Amino acid sequence: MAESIIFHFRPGKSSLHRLDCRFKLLLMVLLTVSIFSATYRGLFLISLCVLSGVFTSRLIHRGFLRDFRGFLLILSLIFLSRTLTEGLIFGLSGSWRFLLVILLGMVLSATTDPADIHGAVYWYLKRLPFIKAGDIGTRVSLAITLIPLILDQTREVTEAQKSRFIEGQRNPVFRILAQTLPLLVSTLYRSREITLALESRCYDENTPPHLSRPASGQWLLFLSTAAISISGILV
Amino acid sequence: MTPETAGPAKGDFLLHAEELSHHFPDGTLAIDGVNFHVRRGEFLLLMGRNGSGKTVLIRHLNGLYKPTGGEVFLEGQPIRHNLRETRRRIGLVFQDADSQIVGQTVWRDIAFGPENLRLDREEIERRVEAALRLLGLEHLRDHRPHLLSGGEKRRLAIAGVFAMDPDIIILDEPFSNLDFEGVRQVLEGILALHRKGHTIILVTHDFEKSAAHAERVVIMDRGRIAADGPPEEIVGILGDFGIRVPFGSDRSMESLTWLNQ
Repeated sequence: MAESIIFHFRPGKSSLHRLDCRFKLLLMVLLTVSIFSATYRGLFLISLCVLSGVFTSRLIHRGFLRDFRGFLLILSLIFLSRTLTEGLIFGLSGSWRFLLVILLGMVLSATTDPADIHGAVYWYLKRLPFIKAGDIGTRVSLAITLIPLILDQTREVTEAQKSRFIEGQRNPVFRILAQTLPLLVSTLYRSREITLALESRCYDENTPPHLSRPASGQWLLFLSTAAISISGILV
Repeated sequence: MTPETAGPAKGDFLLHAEELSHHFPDGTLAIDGVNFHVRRGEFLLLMGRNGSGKTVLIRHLNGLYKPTGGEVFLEGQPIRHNLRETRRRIGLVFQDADSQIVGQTVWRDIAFGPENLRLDREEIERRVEAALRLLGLEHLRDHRPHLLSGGEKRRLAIAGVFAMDPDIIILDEPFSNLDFEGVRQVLEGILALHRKGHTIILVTHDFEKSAAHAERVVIMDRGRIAADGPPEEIVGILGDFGIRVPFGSDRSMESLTWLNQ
């Protein structure tokens, strides 16, 4: 099966795979805030941190660049728009910050089982009043599960349309419709089937997650990364 | 051979449906007054052409669809009173394994059902290991399900249901899109489940792949039960319902399996 690399969970035994998901989510929030508020020196520190995560998670894989092409277009647009309005330095830093956020998301999804994300979200939210922790946890983990499947489906639809020479169609609206309609139909169909399958396997969003106490090494990794992200703002 | 439920009292049935009907919102009558039953330990083939109502029927049997008429009973009790227990006792393996597989490793996916039943960790591990062994998936425990072959995915979907320890396992076209080896692997898995005492309802178009193992065949046509009887009686009328007649008219029932080839 030719599937995309991006946003897929890849089972492994790296320190990031083993890191408790509650730590990962907290670090994700901290680092994202830091990326958008850091000075250039701070951004350098955070970049080192994110890139070490990219290499630890073995995200760079054959086929990575192929899958990353779509994001390059968005990065180019950010670079161009900010360069034209605020200058080259702002253009570069804006697109670099965006790139770091994308890489962070990829590292999280590559090293984290969506079921653990459900458990961590549930753990954080269950104490809050009027919040349906199980419901939100399920939605987040399902969304993370579905994103790579939708990306795979997008590629399949694109290839199917190419095989029918969609490039020969001059009307861009028709080209977009020819790609999005089959994708929409298949995504809706699959969502409905997954919902039924979850029901038939007695899924209960309020099932308490199995969470063990983080080991001391995990605390160390969490605290050092948190310190880097906070110092990224303060430097 | 009869299209009606007849003979033993309804109390003898593990699962039965009475006058089951389902109208879809667009007005389509998917199943129409179906009377259906299955006995404990039975191996039953449910057959019929595309659109005959097989999938709609089986989705009523574990309460995923709510009937617009009639009722489904498990050991004489209406299933609507306890859908959760019904779904634990009646496992359903979907036609599209990708829709059913939610875990990110083989091990985690099999554990998904037992975790939902809130079993303790040791029991979950025991059941997952037993399912891995029974379906021959031990060497794939840490693999990502979406990268497995078609046959392995189907076996994983079956293992996930088996780990919930159901009385009845319903398999919706488990051989579709599989190569010869994939069919054999899945069929071996199904027979292993039957040997362990599970009641099997196998929805299929392929009489010759598994008829040798079945005790009864039910044929659906246009939303109704059109025929119900032992395989040797049904084989002669398969063609009337758009089902492929096994190659070679004089073949014995024992030869109608892909495991002998």
